[in-house]
Amino acid sequence: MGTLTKEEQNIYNRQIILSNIGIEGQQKIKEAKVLVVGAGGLGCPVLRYLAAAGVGEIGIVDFDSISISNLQRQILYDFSDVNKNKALVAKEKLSKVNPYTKITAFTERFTTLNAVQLVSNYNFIVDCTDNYETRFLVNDACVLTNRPFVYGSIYKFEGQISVFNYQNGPTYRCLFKDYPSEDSTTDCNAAGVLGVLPGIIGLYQANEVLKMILGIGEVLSGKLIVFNALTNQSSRFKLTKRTEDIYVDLLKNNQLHAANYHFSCSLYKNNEEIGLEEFEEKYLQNSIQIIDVRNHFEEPIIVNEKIIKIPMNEIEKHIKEISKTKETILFCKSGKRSLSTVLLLKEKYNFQNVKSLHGGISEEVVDILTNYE
Amino acid sequence: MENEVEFYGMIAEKIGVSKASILLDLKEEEINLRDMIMAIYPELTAMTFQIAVNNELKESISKDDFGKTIAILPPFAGG
Repeated sequence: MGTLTKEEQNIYNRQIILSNIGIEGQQKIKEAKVLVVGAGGLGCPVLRYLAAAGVGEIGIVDFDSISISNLQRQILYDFSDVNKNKALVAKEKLSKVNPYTKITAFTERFTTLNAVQLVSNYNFIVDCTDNYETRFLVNDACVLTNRPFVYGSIYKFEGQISVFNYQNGPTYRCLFKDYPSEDSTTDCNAAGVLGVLPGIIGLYQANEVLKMILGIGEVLSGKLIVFNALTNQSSRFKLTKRTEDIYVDLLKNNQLHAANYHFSCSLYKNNEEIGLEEFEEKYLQNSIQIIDVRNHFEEPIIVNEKIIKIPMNEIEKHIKEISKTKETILFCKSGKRSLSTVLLLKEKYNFQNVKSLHGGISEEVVDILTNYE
Repeated sequence: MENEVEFYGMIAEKIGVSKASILLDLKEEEINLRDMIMAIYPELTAMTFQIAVNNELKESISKDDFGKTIAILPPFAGG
């Protein structure tokens, strides 16, 4: 990364003349590499301001495409972008904002298979995701790679902001240790949000990134801000690092394990899951390959020659036993392990025609599998 | 002694208000704050939240905390 050109010094003049930034600070911004996970409501303002501020390298991860209902708050996009990939469009728009910023678009999902590699190539990570599964994954990938990350999340008129894993500070799991209960989760797009809110929270996030890069001000580590757009109340809570080592089992062998992430969000459901009725129909037509990914001792034990029994953690060892050409349905107790395994098969082994049985092995499923052998 | 309780996000919707006052009657030196909150608001039993007392995360409450503000913080997913 070279020194600032005359033109760059002109572009960033208004922040260079700030006494605690100067040319030296602007050079730090130019040398910074920031990965933004999610280019939606939060990601758009974060990206726009970081590019404009002169961040040298920005990575954008988003597999999703732009829909018309995004335009109310996702300020990088317009009507002509509908149905295009968010990361690619964001890259194109930001290249015009700042041609000096090297921008890389990652159009794949952020998963256990690519998270560490993606995060490793950047110094600062910004969590702009819209579901708990990916939030926990961003956190754990940052813990594994020792990267600080700026957290932002929103609910209707309220937003939360913090900086996690910064200089051995608290992590997201110090605030919320585990995946929230089902009663505490809403469908990703069901809650609704006031369009300006992600703008406000996103700018808090961009501000924290710049402070970390520059080494100025007070970084929001060990603190959580909760902002309410209706009352303008901004509450600040003190966070402490959990004393027990919560990552021993989670990051066994210094790896991310798909089973730790409840990939149950509606984001995945349409593509990766199959419902009971469709499952029954296909089973009766005898057209599918069925794999039970539960452990061998798990009840109810089903005796049915049509079912291949491979526990989730042994699936890679037995990968050759699974037909890639036949339509395949995986099941487990609740549907979570089978969904994680579906993602693994698709992303690592290029399976095309594989789905997880939604809800796992219910009484109805047992009836189907035992009565119509 | 009364303590003010602030509810955030989905928790406020569940309770129906964003603020309330509760009367703390501590018979023991220290009690589990989560159990106490769920006894007062059983509709929160199946929900995930953190509790703060005067803006600091806490799981128990003692007589020293009389009069302090209790905040009930759920996680937010949106982005």
